[in-house]
Amino acid sequence: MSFLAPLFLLGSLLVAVPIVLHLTRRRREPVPFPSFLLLQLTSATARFKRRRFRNIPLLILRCLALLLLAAAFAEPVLRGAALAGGEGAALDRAVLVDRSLSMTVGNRMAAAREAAQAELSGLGRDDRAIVVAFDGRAAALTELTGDRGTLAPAVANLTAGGGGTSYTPALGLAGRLLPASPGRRREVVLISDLQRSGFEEGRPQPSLPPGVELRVRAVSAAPPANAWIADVTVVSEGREQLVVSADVGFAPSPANPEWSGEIELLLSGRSVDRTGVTAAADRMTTARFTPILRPSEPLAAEVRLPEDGFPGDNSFHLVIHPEAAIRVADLGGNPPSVYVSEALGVGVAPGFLLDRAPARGEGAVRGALEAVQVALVRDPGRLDAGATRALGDFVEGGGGLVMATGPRRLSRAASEELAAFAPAVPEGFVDRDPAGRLGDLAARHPLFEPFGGEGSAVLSALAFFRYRELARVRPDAAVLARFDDGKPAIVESEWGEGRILLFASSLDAEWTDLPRRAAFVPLLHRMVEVAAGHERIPIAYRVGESVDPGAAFRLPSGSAGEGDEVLADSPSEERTVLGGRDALRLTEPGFYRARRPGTAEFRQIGVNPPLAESDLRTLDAAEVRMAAVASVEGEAPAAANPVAPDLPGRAVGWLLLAGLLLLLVSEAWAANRSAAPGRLPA
Amino acid sequence: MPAAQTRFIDPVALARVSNLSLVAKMVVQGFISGLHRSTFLGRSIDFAEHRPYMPGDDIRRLDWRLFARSDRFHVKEFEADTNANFVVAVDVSRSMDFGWRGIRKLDYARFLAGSLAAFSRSQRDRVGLGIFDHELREFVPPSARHLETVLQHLARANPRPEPDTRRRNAAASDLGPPLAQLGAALGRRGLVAVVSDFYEPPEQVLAAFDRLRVTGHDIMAFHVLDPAELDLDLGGVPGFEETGTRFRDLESGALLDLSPTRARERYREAMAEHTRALRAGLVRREVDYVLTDTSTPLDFALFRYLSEREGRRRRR
Repeated sequence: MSFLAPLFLLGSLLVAVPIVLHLTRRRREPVPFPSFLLLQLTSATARFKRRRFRNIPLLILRCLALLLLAAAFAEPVLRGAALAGGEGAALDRAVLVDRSLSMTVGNRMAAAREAAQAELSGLGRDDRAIVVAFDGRAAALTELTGDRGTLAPAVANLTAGGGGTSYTPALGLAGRLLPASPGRRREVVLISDLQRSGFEEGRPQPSLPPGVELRVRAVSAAPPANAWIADVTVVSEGREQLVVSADVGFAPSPANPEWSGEIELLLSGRSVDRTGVTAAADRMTTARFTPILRPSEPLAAEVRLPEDGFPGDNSFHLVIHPEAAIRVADLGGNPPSVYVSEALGVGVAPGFLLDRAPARGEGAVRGALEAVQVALVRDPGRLDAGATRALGDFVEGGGGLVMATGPRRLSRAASEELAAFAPAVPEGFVDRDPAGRLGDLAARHPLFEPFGGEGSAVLSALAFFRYRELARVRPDAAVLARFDDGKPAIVESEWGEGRILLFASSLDAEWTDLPRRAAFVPLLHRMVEVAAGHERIPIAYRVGESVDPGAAFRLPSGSAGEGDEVLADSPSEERTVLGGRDALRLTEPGFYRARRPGTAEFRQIGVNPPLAESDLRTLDAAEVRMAAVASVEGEAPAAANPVAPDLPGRAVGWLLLAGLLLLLVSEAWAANRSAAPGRLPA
Repeated sequence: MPAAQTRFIDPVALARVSNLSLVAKMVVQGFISGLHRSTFLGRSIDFAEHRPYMPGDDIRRLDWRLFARSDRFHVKEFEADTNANFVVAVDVSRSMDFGWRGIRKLDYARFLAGSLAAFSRSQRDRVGLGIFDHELREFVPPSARHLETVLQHLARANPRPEPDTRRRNAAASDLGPPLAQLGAALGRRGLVAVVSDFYEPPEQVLAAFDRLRVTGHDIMAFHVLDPAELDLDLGGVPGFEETGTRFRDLESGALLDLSPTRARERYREAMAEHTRALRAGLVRREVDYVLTDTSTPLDFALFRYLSEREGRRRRR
């Protein structure tokens, strides 16, 4: 038996308190009696030796309770006699070396290698070690061995990579790699720049098994001032142009409270634009480049900052795809809706192009729909039967239809035509006062993806004063949203090759405040994209992500002979052959290339450092130790002695606490019995 | 006995009535109403005078002959057969300031003495009072007009505040001097009721009564004890433990450590021997002896006393 916090044993001195109390406070007044005339006749046989302590059983219970409490706080652990590894016992040591991107700052990596070599050279004759390198993931570079010839080269060859920092897998792996062996101490040495972001909030913290000591060696000085590119967006501007803009973050240092410099845009490796940026501390600054032409082929782009104290996050790699904007025909769009035209006028590439089209005459409508992917109908009452029929054929042939409702009532003929392919038919008005709200959203539908977890809150805030009741809802239609009175608000269905979204209220501001709300633009964008069947593919990825290579690289389907195999080259030219269902884990920043076997054409994706890696703030060693061991239930930070994992060491403390509880119950019962209320004689 | 006891007034209930005069009247009226059905009815009365009938008078006391003569209602008034002196002597020593199971012994003695005085006055006796501990502290000479004075003195009677440390080594109080003082103070022969817990060796008690008897008084002894004194059971009193308790003598303040468990049997025997010796000695001296505890209803105690006294009178 040993104690993890032996200082708490001093608490056992508190037993003096009940002893003193039983000597003093518990001494009761004598019991009055009228006369000793008869009583003293009995004293010869009935005298008793007056005890110094009153109620000794109660005193014993109380002293025992205090002793148990002190023992429980001292955290006793059982230790097998054979496992009594003292300071002189042989040592198993795991050396964890941080190789994340932040280790490229200054000479951190060299310092880490030096520290790791020092830890290895300090091993005794019977000691063993294992080298673990980690960034977002952890990997053992050697086995647990005492062979310096194996350990030293593993450390010497360590270089910093492009990954993020996470201590959890490293400490977890070290705990698993150090087996509990009789007579051996276990120790983990963490060599790192101690980046604060390595402890992810809200995620399980690293844990070490009981009996493993943790030592922390920091290799970072004060973090330098750092500017980084947090994100790059590409937005359509007109039919042929794209605008690239970059969000620049800056963390100051005492020597550099501000940062200003030129940010550079490179396309296919060639610099095409530069723009000056002055970044303020601790907030994002957006830099906008001169518009570029929409490319006809996938275009590798890079946004680059000048060199600073941390060059690893100064570049952002992306691929601009040659997708044309989604063309939308606004049927009966005269007069035009300023809300709709403004909303579709902006947007991340590929963007939208809005055309006006007639709403009457089958031939005219068919002609207008030939060159567009999506038809937008703001007031179905404008449609005649022919135009409606043309719309149905357009959707059946693969077009998308976004239909809202408006003040005009559908003609009977148009209504019948619409019922043939639409998910529902707009009928009479529903007026709401107070305003109706959206409830019951199909939150997982791609339509609501831009709203994320807050989607329901944002959309539920919209007010609807009027809408049309959607009747004759097709059985195969999906109701994506309902009003709070239960009536369908957005209904979706497929017809032939195309897709239809029907919105029961208006896209103008007469019936609802939707067009005036921030949710309008992303909602309309997603309605058009969903109707068009457009799948958003990121323009850039982050190190640490795993991607489906076929989708991410937009590779053509594999040939029958080669299957779905993909050859992927990392930025450092390391080739990976992936099966049809394999995911590609991105480990380096830069451009990854991939192709199908048998084809020469490579497709690229841009990969960038994890955003959290740009946050160079650090913890001190004590904080890391506390964070690392806090999650280890009851383990003392400085527990140097091994604890037999198969012995119920921790159970001793719980047993003591259970015993304490039992004692307290007994004490309360005994105290109640001995202090039964009574009336004092005169 | 329990069915009969329900007719009597619980002393604890009486203790809630602060007016001793009212308590005495309640007890005596209840007691007398009980006597109307008893063998004492009609004894010892002689015609005294007539008075006009008043509403509420017992119509059995109407003199019908006089009515036939005068056509007016008159009631016959009678005089008691005695007009003796009645003095009640109450012990207010500190040992009387004790009560655990019922009321304090002193309160019980007050009620008893007051009731006796009121009852005697209703019998046209002259009533007086003596209050004593180890000496006669107060004396009210017997008089037909002294009932209220007696009751007022009784209500104020209390033990001395401090134990008598000079008597720390004495076995108990001394009944002799106060009774001798009382005997000397009483000029005319009469009836003396002594109310005490008699914590004194029986021979000393008897000697004290002897000194009172030589003056020719008829004597009654009321021995008042708390039920806890009879069986040494003070369970529930803070500090009382069966295995060992430190007792404090109320009279002297002396301390005594005893194991009640071991002492109880011997104590009961000693108490029984004490009361037996007192009863035997007093009966031999033709002193009426009534042992009562504070849980006994007062009128019941009076009833027992009169029954005993009547029996003895008949035997004489």
